[in-house]
Formats: sequence, C-alpha cells, structure tokens
Amino acid sequence: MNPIPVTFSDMRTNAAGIIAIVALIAVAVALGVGISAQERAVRQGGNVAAEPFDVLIGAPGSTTQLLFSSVYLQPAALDLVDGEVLRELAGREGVASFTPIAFGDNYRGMPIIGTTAGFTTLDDTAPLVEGTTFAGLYEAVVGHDVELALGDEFTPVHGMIETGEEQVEHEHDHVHYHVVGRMARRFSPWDQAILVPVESVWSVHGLGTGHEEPSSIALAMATEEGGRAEGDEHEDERAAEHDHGGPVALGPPWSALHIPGVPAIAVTPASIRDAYVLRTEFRNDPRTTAIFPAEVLLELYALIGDASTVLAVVSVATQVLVVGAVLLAVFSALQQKREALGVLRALGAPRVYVFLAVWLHVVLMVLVGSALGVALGWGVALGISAILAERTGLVLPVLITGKEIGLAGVLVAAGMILAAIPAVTVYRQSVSEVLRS
Amino acid sequence: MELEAIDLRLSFPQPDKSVQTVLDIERLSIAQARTVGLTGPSGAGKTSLMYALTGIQPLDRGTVRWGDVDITGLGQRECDRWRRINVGIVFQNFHLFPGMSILQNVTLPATFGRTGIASIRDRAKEVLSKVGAPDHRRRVETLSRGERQRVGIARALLLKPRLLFADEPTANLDAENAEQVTDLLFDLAAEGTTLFVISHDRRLLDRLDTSFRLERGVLSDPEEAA
Ligand SMILES: Nc1ncnc2c1ncn2[C@@H]1O[C@H](COP(=O)(O)OP(=O)(O)OP(=O)(O)O)[C@@H](O)[C@H]1O
Ligand SMILES: [Mg+2]
Repeated sequence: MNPIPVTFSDMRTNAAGIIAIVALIAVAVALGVGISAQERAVRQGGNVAAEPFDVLIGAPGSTTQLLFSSVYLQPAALDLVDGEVLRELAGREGVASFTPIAFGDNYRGMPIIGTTAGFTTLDDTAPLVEGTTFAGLYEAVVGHDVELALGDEFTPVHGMIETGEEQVEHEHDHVHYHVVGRMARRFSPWDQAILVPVESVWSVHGLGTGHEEPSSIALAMATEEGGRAEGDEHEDERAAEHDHGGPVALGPPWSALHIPGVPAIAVTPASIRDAYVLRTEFRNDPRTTAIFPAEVLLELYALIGDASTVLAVVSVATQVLVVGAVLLAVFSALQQKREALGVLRALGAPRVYVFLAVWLHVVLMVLVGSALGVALGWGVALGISAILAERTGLVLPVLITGKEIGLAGVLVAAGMILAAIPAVTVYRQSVSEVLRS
Repeated sequence: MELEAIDLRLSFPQPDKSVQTVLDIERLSIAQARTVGLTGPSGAGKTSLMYALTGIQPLDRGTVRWGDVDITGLGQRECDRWRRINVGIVFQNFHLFPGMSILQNVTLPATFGRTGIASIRDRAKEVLSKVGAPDHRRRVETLSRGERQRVGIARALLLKPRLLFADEPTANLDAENAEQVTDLLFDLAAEGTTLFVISHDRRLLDRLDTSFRLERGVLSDPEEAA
C-alpha cells in the first residue's frame, strides 16, 4: 500500500499554499528553538567568562556593575577600593592569590587592565600561548584576540572607551608599553584586553607604584599638592628610567605608605570555606563589598529565565496558532480534494489508504516545517551569538540539544494527532455526492 | 457475472421539500448476457443506477446481488473491497488525479494493495497504447477531454476486472477512436469480463448482447440486440 503518490499530487497542485504553511510552521518552531538555544548560550558563555573570578571585592555600590565591569569589562566609573585592602590581603590566611583589576585606560578601544603577572596565566592554569608574562613596569601581555604582535609598542589613552563622551581623553604620550606575551583564549571580553602591571597604571596616573620607593612617594605628594605640569615632568623621567631596564618590584605585597586604590580585586580563596569567610568579611567591612560572580550570574539568569519563560509561552502560543492554521489549510485543501478522495473510495481504496493519504499530507508539512524551523532557529541563534560576540567579546556557544528537538517534537506529535481529524472526516462524506460535484 | 437486482428505490429530497424519485426498478436481471447496454435521456438516472449497482450509491431500499454476493448486505468496508477486486469503472467525468502523470493515474489502483506498481507497469503501458493515449509521462491536467477519456478507460481496464462499467466511454471521441475503444471493451468481454455500458452511441449499442432503456428511473423491457 502506497498512498504517497496521492499525497504528492495533492501537494503539487497547491504548491504555493503548501510552501506558505511550511514557512509558517518553520518560523514558529524557529522562534521556540532560537529562544531556548540562545538562553542556554548566554548562560554557558556567561559562566565561562566568570570562571577566573571566584570572589570579587569592590567599593560599596552596585554588585551587578562590579561584576559586569570586572568579568565582562563593561566600561563604567566605579568607586575605588581603598589601597589598604591590598595590603591586608597580602598577609591574609585563606587567600591563595589575589590581584587588583585596574581599568581606566585603553589603546584603540581595547581596555588596558592593570593587574598582576599571576593573573595573565591564571596562576599557571592557563599558560600563555606565546611570549612571557610581564616582568618590567612597561611590559604588556595582550588578550588572545588583540591585534598586536610581540615586540609592538603602544601608547595608552586615558578613558575606558576610545571616544569617551564625558571624559576629556588625552594620550599618555610619554608612556610606551611593549608587548611581551599573549594570553590563552578565555572566551570572554578579556580576549580583547591588554594586561599590564598595576604598578604602571598607578604610575601613569602619578600615583607611584605602590611599592616603597622614596621618589614615588614624593611624586605622589607633588601630584596631589602641586601643579600637574611638574608631575608630568617627573613621570617622563621615571618612565624613561624604567624603559632602560631599571629594576622595579612588581606584584604583591605592596608596601608604600600610601597604596593607591583600585576599582576591583579578584581573590582566589584557598578553600570553599575560605570563600564564604572572605565574602562575609568584606561585605561587613564598610570600605568594601564582596560577591561570588557565579552567584550574581545565577540571579541574573533567573531574570533572563523569567523573560525567556514569557517568550517561550509566546512561542508555544504561536505554535498552537500554527497548528490551527495547518488544520484550517488542510480542511480547505480537503474541500478542494473532495473529488480525488471520493474517486479513491469509488475505486475501492481501503480506508487506511485514504486515511494515510490525508494524514501524510499534514504530517509531511509539519515535519518539514519543524525540521526547517530547528535549522532556522539554530542559524538565527548562531547569528545573534556572532553579533553579541563581536559587540561584547563574550563567546556564546549555541547548541541544539534534546530540549530544542523536543520542542519541535511536540509540534510534530500534535500535528500527527490533529491530522487524524481531517483524515477521519473524509469518511463522513457520501461518495456519490462527491463524484457529482 | 450474473446480476439479480430487485425492488431498487432511490430518491432525493428537493429544495422545495418534495421528493424526487431517481430510481424505481422492480427487477433487473442479467443471466446470460456478457455485454449489457443502458440508454435513456439525460437525467433519467443512468449514472445513479451504475453507482447503485456498484455499491457507491446507497439505496433507499432493494437488493443487488452479483453472483453469490449481495452487495447491499455488505458493510461499507467489505463493499469497497468487493468493488476494488471485481469492478472497473470508467466515469462520465473521468475523475483523474491532477498533479499526477498519465502512468501514475493508470497504475494508481495497483498501489491500494500489496502488489505495487512495479509488476503492473508493463501492463499499464500496453493498455495505454491500446487506447491510444499520449506520452505516459504527461500530467493529466494538460490533456484534452478525449485524451482524458482514454486514460480513464485504461485505468479501468488495468486490473482486468470481472465487471466493467463504462459511463459514456465514447462520448468525447471521434468515430475512429470510438471504434478503437469499443473494440478494446469487447476484447475484454471476450476474455470473460461482464461489460455494462451507458451510451447513446448507436454503433456501440448495436454490438451489445442486450440493452435496457431507463426513463425517469423506470426500466423498459430489454430490447434484444439485432
Ligand atoms: N445526490 C443527489 N442529490 C440530488 N439529486 C441527485 C443526486 N444524484 C442524482 N440526482 C438527480 O438524479 C437524477 C438522475 O441523475 P443521473 O446522473 O443518474 O442521470 P443520468 O441519466 O446519468 O444523466 P446524464 O445522461 O445527463 O448523465 C438527476 O435529476 C439528478 O439531479
Ligand atoms: Mg450520467
């Protein structure tokens, strides 16, 4: 028994209508699949980016902003954490490692982050892909995707974004970093960042290096009290001095009388217990706040989840409408196909044959539409991820899993069941009447 | 095959709530004849009678018996099955499937069962060439009425039915083609098929064993063929 020729002949004589319905189904399925896949992509991408940050300490204020500025390098003016905190962390129990994260400058729109050498390799868990980490004050390690080669020189520009609207930006003309290494891929905006010793960031802004160094203390004083021309002059001298290989202490502990502040500090605790202790402590400290980025992300995902639930309901509603549209189309097609089905019965075709001819008609449309929809949804999610990756530096991996296939499967199943209705109604018509019309 | 039809009555309600009697036949019996004709004016009920005798049209009352089988006593499913196995029909309006080629149309009845069309394809091409149908790959919606008629006949002949009904099979054909088709029908009758033809074609009617005349649903006595 093979009713497929009848089904196809039906479709051939009404190709435009069939294509319209299949397209409608595809769009509805794509909507559901796209939303679901994109939501997961955002979660996974967000988590990967947050991995290097166990505990984040910032000045009291918005924890979400602290997260976005540090993990995703979103430009924002954050209050600074008192430099004394850095001194305290250096000797503290339960801290495996910690690093200041000092942003504020950029080179061609790529953020320049003052940090420690350990952070360029995530404490040796992510070795550099080329070169070495910074050992001199004006050496830089670039993010994986930064278009600078080892040995290149560049001059930082003040301001977090290249064309800052509010800040009047100026070049730190006298400062020249040169690139000594490149980080492993982090699948985050950090792939577009340039990492330099935090001491150099402080120093460029006339705050000294954070290390005990009589000249820098004097310099800091001079900058705060005196005119800035004088300070700049001194900076020039010092910059020149370091470029010629003068030894500078880099990394913790900082021991200057006055350690400059930083917008954020990333802490790797020795144990999970320590993580909670640290967070509680720095939350209670009036100078600071502390977060687990993973936890803040979970709260954010809950919001996204709510939104995507609404969207999912919308897309299910769309699918229900589409199934309705399919049925309508089938009933109207049946009206046109009455003659053919009547002839089939007059020729003695078995019931199952007539049933299958109609049923396959609907099921084929739903199947093809759903398959196209999954592909379309996947494609759109990939496209959105590509755009987001370009805009934010976040890599959002789009995957089609059982959940998305299941979404399409529900529609197919519904189609299979509903298709039985028109298939059965064929048998309620009088053949002789149909043959006359 | 022998036919014994008794007390057939078929009527349809009209829009003005009166009832139109389409068939009112006391008895129709075909024992010896191989080839039977049915004539009568338009609207007399000829097509209705054909549908009634093949189980397509349920009757108000009466029994239709072909050989040992009382088809008016069969359930719909069994009746469809009986028709599939025993009957070939050439419809007055052809009733071909648009969107299919000529060959697909002709072989369609073979897709109902287990046989499939592979074994029947040669037979289909043979029948098509006998009726003088055009290239079998052509889609049927591109055909003229005469060409469609021939495809319809080929479809009915395909499975060599024991009973062949043909409703005006030569109405759309020129004299030469009409004769060809008539020959074909009689060839089949010679192989053992019982032929039941509705026609106004004198040259066709003259070759039949027997003919009936239907007028306003009432049968006249069979006029024996000359
Ligand atoms: N389902 C139906 N409902 C109402 N009237 C019907 C129905 N079927 C047949 N009729 C009527 O029955 C009468 C006989 O129709 P039928 O088609 O059998 O005539 P016919 O002899 O084949 O005519 P023709 O030579 O024009 O083909 C017609 O008046 C027709 O309108
Ligand atoms: Mg008729």
